[in-house]
Amino acid sequence: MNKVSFEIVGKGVPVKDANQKVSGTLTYATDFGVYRMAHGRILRSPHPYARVISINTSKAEALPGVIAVLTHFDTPRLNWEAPWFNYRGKVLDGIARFVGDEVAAVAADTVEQAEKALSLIAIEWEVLTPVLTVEEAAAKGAPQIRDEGNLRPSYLFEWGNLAEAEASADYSVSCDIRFPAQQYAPLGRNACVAEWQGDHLTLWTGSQTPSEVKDGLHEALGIPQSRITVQALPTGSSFGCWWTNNFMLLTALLARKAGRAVRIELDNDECMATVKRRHEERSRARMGCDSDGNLTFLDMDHVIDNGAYGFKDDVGFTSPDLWNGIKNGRASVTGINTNRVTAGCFRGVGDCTLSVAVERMADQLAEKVGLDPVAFRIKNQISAGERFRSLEQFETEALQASGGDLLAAVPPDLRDDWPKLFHLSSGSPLPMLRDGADRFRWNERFVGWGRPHHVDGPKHRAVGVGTGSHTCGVETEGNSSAIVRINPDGTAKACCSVGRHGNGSETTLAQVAAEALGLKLDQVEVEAGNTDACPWSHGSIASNTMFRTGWATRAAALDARAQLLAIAAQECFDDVDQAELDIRAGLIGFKETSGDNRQFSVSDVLNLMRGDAHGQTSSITGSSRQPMPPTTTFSRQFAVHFVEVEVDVETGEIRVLDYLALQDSGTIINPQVMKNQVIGGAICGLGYALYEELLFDSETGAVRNGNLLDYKVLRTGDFPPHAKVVFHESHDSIGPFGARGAGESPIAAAIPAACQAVYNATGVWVDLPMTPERVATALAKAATGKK
Amino acid sequence: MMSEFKYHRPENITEAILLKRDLGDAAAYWAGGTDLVLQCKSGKRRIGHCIDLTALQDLSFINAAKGGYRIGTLTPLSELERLNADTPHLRTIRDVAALMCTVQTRTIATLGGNLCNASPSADLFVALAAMGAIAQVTGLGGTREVPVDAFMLAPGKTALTGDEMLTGVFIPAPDVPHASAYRRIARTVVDIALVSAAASLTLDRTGEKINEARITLGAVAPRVIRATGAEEMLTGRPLSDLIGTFAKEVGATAAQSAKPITDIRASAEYRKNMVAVLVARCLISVSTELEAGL
Amino acid sequence: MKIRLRINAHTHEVETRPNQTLAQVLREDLGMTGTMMSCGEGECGSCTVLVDGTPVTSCLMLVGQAMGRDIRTIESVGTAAALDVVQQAFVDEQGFQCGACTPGFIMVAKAFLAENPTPTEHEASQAMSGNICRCGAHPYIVRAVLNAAGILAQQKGSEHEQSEL
Repeated sequence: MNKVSFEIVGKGVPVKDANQKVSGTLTYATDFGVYRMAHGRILRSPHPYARVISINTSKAEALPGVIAVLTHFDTPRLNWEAPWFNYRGKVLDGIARFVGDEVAAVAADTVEQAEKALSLIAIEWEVLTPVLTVEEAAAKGAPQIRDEGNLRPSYLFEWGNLAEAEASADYSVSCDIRFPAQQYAPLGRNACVAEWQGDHLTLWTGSQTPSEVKDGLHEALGIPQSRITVQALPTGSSFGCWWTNNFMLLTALLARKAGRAVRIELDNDECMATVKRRHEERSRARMGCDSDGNLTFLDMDHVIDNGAYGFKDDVGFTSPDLWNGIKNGRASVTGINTNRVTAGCFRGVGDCTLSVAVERMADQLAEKVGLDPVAFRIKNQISAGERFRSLEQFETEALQASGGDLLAAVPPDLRDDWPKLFHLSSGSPLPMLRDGADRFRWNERFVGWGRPHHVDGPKHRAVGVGTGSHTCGVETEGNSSAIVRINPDGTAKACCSVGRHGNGSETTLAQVAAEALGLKLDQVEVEAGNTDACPWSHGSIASNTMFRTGWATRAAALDARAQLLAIAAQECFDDVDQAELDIRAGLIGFKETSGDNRQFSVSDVLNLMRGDAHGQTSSITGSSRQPMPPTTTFSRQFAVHFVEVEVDVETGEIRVLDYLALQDSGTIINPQVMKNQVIGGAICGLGYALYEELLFDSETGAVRNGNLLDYKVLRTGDFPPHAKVVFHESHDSIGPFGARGAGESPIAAAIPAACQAVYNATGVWVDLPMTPERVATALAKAATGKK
Repeated sequence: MMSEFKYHRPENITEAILLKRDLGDAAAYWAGGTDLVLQCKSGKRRIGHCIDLTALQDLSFINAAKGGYRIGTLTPLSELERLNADTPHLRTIRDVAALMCTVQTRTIATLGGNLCNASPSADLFVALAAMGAIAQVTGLGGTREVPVDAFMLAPGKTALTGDEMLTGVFIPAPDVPHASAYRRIARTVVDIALVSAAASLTLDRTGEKINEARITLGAVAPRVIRATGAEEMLTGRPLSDLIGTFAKEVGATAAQSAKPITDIRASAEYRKNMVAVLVARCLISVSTELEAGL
Repeated sequence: MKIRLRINAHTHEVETRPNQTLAQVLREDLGMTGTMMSCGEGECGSCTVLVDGTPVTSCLMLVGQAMGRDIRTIESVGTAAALDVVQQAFVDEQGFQCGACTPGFIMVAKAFLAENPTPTEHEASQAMSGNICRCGAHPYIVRAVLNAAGILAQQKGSEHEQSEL
């Protein structure tokens, strides 16, 4: 489909719940309760690794107000898994694997009673030797903290001929970078309410992945999905934090034992130190290029710390796809478990680490070659239509599996539009690099590698550029579906299981459905959280909300529209071919070329059916009948960010002075939503670049700064209010109305931009986060080296 | 979750002090309470009685006094940052107050609370100690004065005894040229000082010679400390000496007084190094202000 | 203890305990969940309310400290159906994503604009720094405040004209 003008898509309308949010009337998970509910609190382990030898709950149970105490003797011996290997374990199993791990839970009439009861539970522990770092966990003879062992099999991909390329490279650089664990620092906390009616469970909680919460309950409790209703409620900021979390499953089990609805609200410490975090990671790599600055090879070993229950073997490495100039390479990722809080996907997983390592090496090569960072990126990064070099082996495998026809899985009617697999479908960072350099006055402000363009005493100013990319969803965990229902009054509801956590999906998916249906935006609402209403969807994961669930939403809307037009053609328009009809702003009539001006509203048509004893239906349900064919092997989102910083070279303090973010996510469904996704990513990325680092106790692995006093995130005064966002809307033939993913590339671009800017201001590369102390220390070290 | 305590709301100072006398160590004066409430929430501190001073609004004031100004103990930081400052030290206080915690916590947090919380990183404490401010302490036994730089004994521990209450602080405003400055290292715009320093210089009548120099350091020892070695380098020297590298030399000497620790916010080494930078910057700032005023 | 609180021009009588914060009482006893609770440590500003016209982190204020004072929460500012100028400015500029921090920002903005009706960009961005927006809507929050200032000034100007007529 070529870009056409849209009625609703592309309009920067306020999000549907805007007025509720600014008036404080939106009901978040933490604002929700049910009648006669009890309150639960969770007992957490003081040990990083220990086995419960005995647990005595009698004193706790005897406390007035206490209704039930749940221990591992009450919970099924079943493993459950969170989306994309973010968790694998049992709800409780009598073994604590990190300080803060769930051990038991109490339901009582009041929170205070529950809290007091926790202190009355007596546990005899067998304290085990923990492994607190990936190095310890991977060492020979290390205690194995999981049945499956500490190490996941390495995820490896190779392309080209690495040995040859290495031998012939004119320049090569290496790195060994440790990336700290970032904390979601989820503002607004989360809560869960579980209620059983007979053997049917209803669970209310904040989640980006309502369908997956239902899956998790099914796996962990061993009950049929037909007896589970999940109602995902709005959450505060999430970024991967609130998917399916063990405390939700614990709430369900506690409620079953209590025989009463139970609510558990996590306090801030629990949110910051016991749920999830970004992996701590380490990149050891080499990269090389020829004398003209053409990248020739990348060789990378990357290790991720999964914490206690993360189970990932891969963090989504799209950087070699972005730097398609890397002609030969090898990259391995190894996931390792440690006795620290679980690590999982956080906005831009992999991009904020491996890709940042690649960007740094690319910058170092560019300096050696004598190329400007913008020019070096233009030389080596990908454009639409190019074949992904690094996906060679997967392409070969796919070719074999499909019998030589890569499009075999694509239905015939879609093949015309379907791009070549393993080739970039659309977009490129290149035009944004050129446009951005121009807008940011790059040539004025970049005066050479490691050189500030302005010096005032100890204050050095310099600019940096960074690039980021990400897939638009993953398709290996199931295909996302959606339903669009047209009500008798002519309004419609799109049921898309994506949750509500601020990314505006309740609005952008409504825009997609309204555009496809021909209804006005205020005639379409989205149900994003109820698993009885919504068919399975992956949820808001991996930047797939618009690309994949949006695709399904559009398909469902088109299906509903076709059903409606078939009825209208028959009942209202003398059996004309429905192709002659159109729906515009909720009115059905002939397409503009016709001279017939008859119009029927959608409700007219449906009411006609209702009044007719033989009418086919009184409402219409459209569904995405065919799953979205394979896509992740060709669709990408791109971000190019420019930043100016001022570094105080005596103290190491950094101020961000100027910012420009360019984004190519195809058609922008709602620019108001998108600008926030872009700038929000930039600010979260800068936070990670400058300050954010979860600190762990060296003896116990416990989180040391699980609070916002010492876990620093950027505030309005830390970011230039005049920052600009520019969209490059390279149209995608597959995404809904040409839209692709968006949420994760911006954070990926911000981090290397900041690193490069600091390098240009100071002449030193500083490890993350670039705290004042790290900058000052790096500068002192460089000064000593020079002497 | 905060443990239970009893709540008292005295109507005047005497009533408050009598309560404290009767209730003893189990009771705490609760000014703004912004630090206390966190200590109680985290369980670091348990109190049996809260003596809420909210009703003692006559302890919230900024008044001219002989040789300086008096600031009441319950004056919120938000009042300090809005000070209509007409003396050098009041200007410093105004600027320091604006750095502290957040806009909406400065409205509750008080001058007295900040001093009594006795944190070695307390911004205002460091600045007031440099100015030679004097804490005014009232108990049943009467009123006494304690120099601010001697008010903190250890983290969380002050010179107050028994029923004593800090009622206010005297800020000197000598009739000779003087000025003060405060500098700190912080991460985001809202932060606790990782390390801080303040300097205050008082000149002779001619405005040429440094009569008294006071340099204080924050977050580099168990209490706010003075860098006496650095002070000695300055006393009696011409102000004009601060042009050039002398300020840095004084800073380096001040760093020798620092006995910092490594914690989650910064290492001992960084703190020590930064004392040198911050003290030098304070001195340049003070001398610039003094030169401009002369 | 039984106490009376004056909230949004209504008097409420609450049975509570001295160790409760104003934020807890607002949310849990009075159902005013527009006042959000996040960090509970005075860092994030989600729980900001106005006490005697000044913004206060209600998670740090004991309920006893709030007695006898004029408390205003987000519920008093405007309704979803009839937004106040500042709220509307946040909507127009989309100065939020998840919205968990938004009531707190709006309460601070209300007090800030009352004191400084013609702020500079720098002043506005500093004034909004007592709140944390984890979604990162920072520039749009600052612009919302500046836009609201502009609209309020216009309204004041036209009121002034009317009174002159």
